[in-house]
Amino acid sequence: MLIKNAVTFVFLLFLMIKTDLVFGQEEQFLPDSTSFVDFLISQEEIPGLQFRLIDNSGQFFSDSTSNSTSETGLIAEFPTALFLRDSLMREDSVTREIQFLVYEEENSFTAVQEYVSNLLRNGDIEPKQLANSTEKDFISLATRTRYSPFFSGTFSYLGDFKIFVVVLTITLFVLFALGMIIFMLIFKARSNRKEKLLSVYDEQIIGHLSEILFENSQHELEGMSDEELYRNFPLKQLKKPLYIHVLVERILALNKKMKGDFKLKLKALYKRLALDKISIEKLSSSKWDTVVTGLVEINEMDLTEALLEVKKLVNSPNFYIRSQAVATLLNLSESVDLSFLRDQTFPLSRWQQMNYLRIIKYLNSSRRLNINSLFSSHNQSIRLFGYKLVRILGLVDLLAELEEKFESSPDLEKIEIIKTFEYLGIPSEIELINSSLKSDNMELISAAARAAGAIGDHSSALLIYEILATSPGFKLKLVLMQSLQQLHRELYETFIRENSTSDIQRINEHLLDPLLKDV
Amino acid sequence: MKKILIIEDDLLISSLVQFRLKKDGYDTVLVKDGNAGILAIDTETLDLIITDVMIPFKNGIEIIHHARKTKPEVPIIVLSSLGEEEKTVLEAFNLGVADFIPKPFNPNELAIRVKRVLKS
Repeated sequence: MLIKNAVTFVFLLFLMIKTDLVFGQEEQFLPDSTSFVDFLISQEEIPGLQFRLIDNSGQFFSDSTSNSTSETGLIAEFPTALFLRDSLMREDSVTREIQFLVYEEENSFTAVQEYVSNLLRNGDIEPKQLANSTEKDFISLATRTRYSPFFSGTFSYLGDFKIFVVVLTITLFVLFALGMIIFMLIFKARSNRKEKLLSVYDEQIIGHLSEILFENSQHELEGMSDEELYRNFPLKQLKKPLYIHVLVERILALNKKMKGDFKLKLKALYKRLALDKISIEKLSSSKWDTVVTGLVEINEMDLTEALLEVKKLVNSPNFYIRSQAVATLLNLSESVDLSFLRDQTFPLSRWQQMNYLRIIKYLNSSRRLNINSLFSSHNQSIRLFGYKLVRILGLVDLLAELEEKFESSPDLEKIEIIKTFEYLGIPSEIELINSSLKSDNMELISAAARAAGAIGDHSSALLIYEILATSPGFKLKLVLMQSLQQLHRELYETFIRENSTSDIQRINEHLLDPLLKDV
Repeated sequence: MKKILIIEDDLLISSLVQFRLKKDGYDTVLVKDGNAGILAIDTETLDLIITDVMIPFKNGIEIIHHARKTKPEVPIIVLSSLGEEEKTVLEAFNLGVADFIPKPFNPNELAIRVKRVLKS
């Protein structure tokens, strides 16, 4: 990326280099003799170029009385030389030629032509416009004139729209890249500074924490004066959010890793440093992650005084907030009646159920949880969770309530209740299971058939036999045959004898195979 | 003064343990990873090694193996999380560690155990 930027930058600089002089096509000026003669006539005097008239005997013409010639017969202007030649011809009828001299040295016509061309190319002479020049001549002359752009220097590129766009794009790209680099450098510097500060605070805090925790008892910490406290944790530092952040993190980490009186000391110190207020304040934050952090801190440091605030978050639209709020309430409430969970309007996810189950399982031995309150929730997922709790925690004293609720419950809940009866092995509930076998809902029949296999009786076997006779689907047939085999072996064998379809034979082989029967 | 090597990558725990042991009058050497731990075992004259199981570069079991080979007379106390595999803990005991302290732990309890191990 950097190399690419560097190459682009060099290219841009190359484009910006001042090249204001651009020459036209390199060609010989005045290529033919006619135009050269025309040019000499129009130009009159050319530096270094002189003319002389010579007769047939090689004698040059010299006239001291004439203004046009010197004693050496040299003439500076070509029109004068022409005029003089023509005048002399009229006077004495002697033919004279014009000799060309460059810096007083005799030269051929071609050499003089080249000399004048060089003067023109180098800009040593400016061609005078011919009076009788045509448009074509003008264009011809223009091609021989050096090109000088309208916009000179750096701004020459602005004259061409395409180059302007390219330059603009490259400039913007370079500016953007530079901006990014500067932003990254600033970000990195800030990040480094923060890391350095974190490390410094870490060292300060760990040292003081160790000292204060080993040197003081819990009561001493609770009654510690401000002066003594600020000696370990300076007030100036306690006003800095980063310092507070590190302090809270370290106390929480120690609380997790330590046990015994150390935990109590840490909690006493947490409150003495007024960190509990900061944790509670986090609950009012508009950022959900800050709220969750606050809830975790309240949970870890047992800040029971914050429970009212926590309770307000149980029905938060944010999944993480309400999950953590419920977990915190479950952990910290002295009298957990689960009413806050019962009143939840949002459905419980599997993850939440697992999380709450872990806490409830832990609390169930020490507190009366009133799990039955969940059965009356308006939220079906909560009611289902309540039935699962009865099953997993083995709360047989709540089975009577489940039995009462069974008839009025939707099929989904009936399935969960039947699973609970089956799991806890309650044969007295067989009437409910048999009634479910007569349902139109295949899932309910399947759950009831499975439960009947475990806790059913003869009447259940007959019912299952009847259902099998109606040729149900393959999956239900498998469950029904499995239950019938467990409940009434003779009836099962009769059914196999009377029905020899391939499905039934395959299921029978599967159930009789000792390796496959539990698969 | 008895010298104790502490091999623990958690700065918080190591600082706390170091502080407690210094308070009891022990000289301590603190290292944060397995390689530094092995170097310290080879170069220092030690009376006790306290090591975590999960540490960078070389784990606690490798440290114990090395210590048993080079300095079999130095007792070792293992600090480890309760979640650690039972196999690891058993392996540590089979290698002849003097004590095993599960995390979370009480530093005062650790100090008592250190005193007991050094006396024996």
